[in-house]
Amino acid sequence: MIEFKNVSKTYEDTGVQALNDVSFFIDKGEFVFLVGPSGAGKSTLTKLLIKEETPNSGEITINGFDLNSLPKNKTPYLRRSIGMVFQDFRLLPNKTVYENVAFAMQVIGASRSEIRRNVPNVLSLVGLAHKARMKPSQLSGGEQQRVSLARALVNKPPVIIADEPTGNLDPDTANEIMQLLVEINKRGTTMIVATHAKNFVDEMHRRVLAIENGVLVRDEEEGTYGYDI
Amino acid sequence: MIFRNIKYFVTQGVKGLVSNSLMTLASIGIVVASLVLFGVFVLFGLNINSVGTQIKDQCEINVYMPNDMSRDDVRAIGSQLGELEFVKEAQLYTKEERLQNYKEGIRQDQAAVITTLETDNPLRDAYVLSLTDVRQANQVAEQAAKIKGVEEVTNRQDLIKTILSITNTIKHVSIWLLVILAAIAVFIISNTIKLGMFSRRKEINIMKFVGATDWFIRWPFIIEGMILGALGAGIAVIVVMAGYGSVLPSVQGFMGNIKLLETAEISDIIVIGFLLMGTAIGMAGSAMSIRKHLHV
Repeated sequence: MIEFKNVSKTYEDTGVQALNDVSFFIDKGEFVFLVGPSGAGKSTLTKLLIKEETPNSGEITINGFDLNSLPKNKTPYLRRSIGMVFQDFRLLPNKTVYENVAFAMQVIGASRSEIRRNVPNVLSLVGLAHKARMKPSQLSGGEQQRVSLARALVNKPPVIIADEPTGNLDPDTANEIMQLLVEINKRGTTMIVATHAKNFVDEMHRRVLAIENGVLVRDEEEGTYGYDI
Repeated sequence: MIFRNIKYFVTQGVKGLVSNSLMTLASIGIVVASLVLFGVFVLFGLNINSVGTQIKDQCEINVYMPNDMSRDDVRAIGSQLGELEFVKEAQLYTKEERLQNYKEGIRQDQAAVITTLETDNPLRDAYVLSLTDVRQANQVAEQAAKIKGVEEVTNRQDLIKTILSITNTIKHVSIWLLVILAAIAVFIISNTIKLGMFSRRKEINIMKFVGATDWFIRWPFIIEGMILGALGAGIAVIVVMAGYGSVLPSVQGFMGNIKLLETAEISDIIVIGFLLMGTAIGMAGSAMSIRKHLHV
């Protein structure tokens, strides 16, 4: 489903080697934590997955897309197969909860009836059906992250990449979001979560990929966080 | 799918215009100013062209015979004139006919003059030559002057040359003016679009992550530019047509029997031309911004 083969990435402008000969395979429906110190290369890895960056060497395959041979004008189709969740939510402040989620369908050309059918469903799934008409500023941090998750889910992508999804949230809210990610994963969506949340990684006993200085140093089936905070 | 998207693009384009109203007004203003100034030159050029054509049509060579020449001799010369190269027709106006024309042209209070003229007609028999090619007027005039018995030949070639040269100058100035003004308008519009992109950078970023195609992101900005250009052009059309309509009667008063173009005659070229130009200027402005600033 997702495969990295000897992937290396050096940023030309700074000369920093962000990833060095990284290889791994993630199967359909897996839940994987991506851990490592700040600046280790986690963000670069996620950027490579959505082809925001291209590797200097190595091969990346995701959802049947061979990223090395994928032309630039086909990149949007790759991105439609990956839902992205960010630490800072990235919601549009002038749109309602409903519109923020519907926007993700609108920009890929979904019909109005599809939007009317899918958006309420996905808002129910994240527990926000009753707040559909509110603006993001009227919501708590946890609720905003739920909206962001709903937006990532609404086009039914086979993979979700969450980059520090609990980084801005209090422990209780963070727990709720993590449970929601587990719930979504149970429905068959492959989940890649880049995080510094030691407690979740240690408690959940999921697969852990640890990156340090651009090198994949651990790939454990039921791993732990492995760093002191 | 396509119609649904078009509705989205247009809505987003209009939203862009409204949310950035100050720059929108500035852009429309510069398009209006550019096209109005250009329009003044175009109208001037079109009219000079039309006047030139009218004068060309009136371009005839007058060949005068001596006052005392017999009518038979005059007709003999007439047939020689008719055979000259580039002469379409040689039409005889006898001195009696010319006097009659003259009488019709002068006021009643000058009747005394007429009486004098009738007793001693000073006018001469004349042939008016119409030509197959007006550019050969000088050559024809020379040939006609060489015919034995011809007293005088006149033609208006110099006037035509002057008018043609004015028309050409105006054409060149108009084109350069359009290029310069269009460049300024494109620059201003591209800045307006750039600001729009900046204020919507977050939205654009999200669009990229959820898989919007590059064109889906670009179209609203292109449409925003096109609307800017078309609105400016629309206002310019109204200003130019209204302005022309109001000055036409007084200018026509000075022109005698040379007709200036009526408002209806120029409306098509002004409306279609301006709208096309305005829209193209708007599109060019957007395209410039998109290429430089929208890295999708």
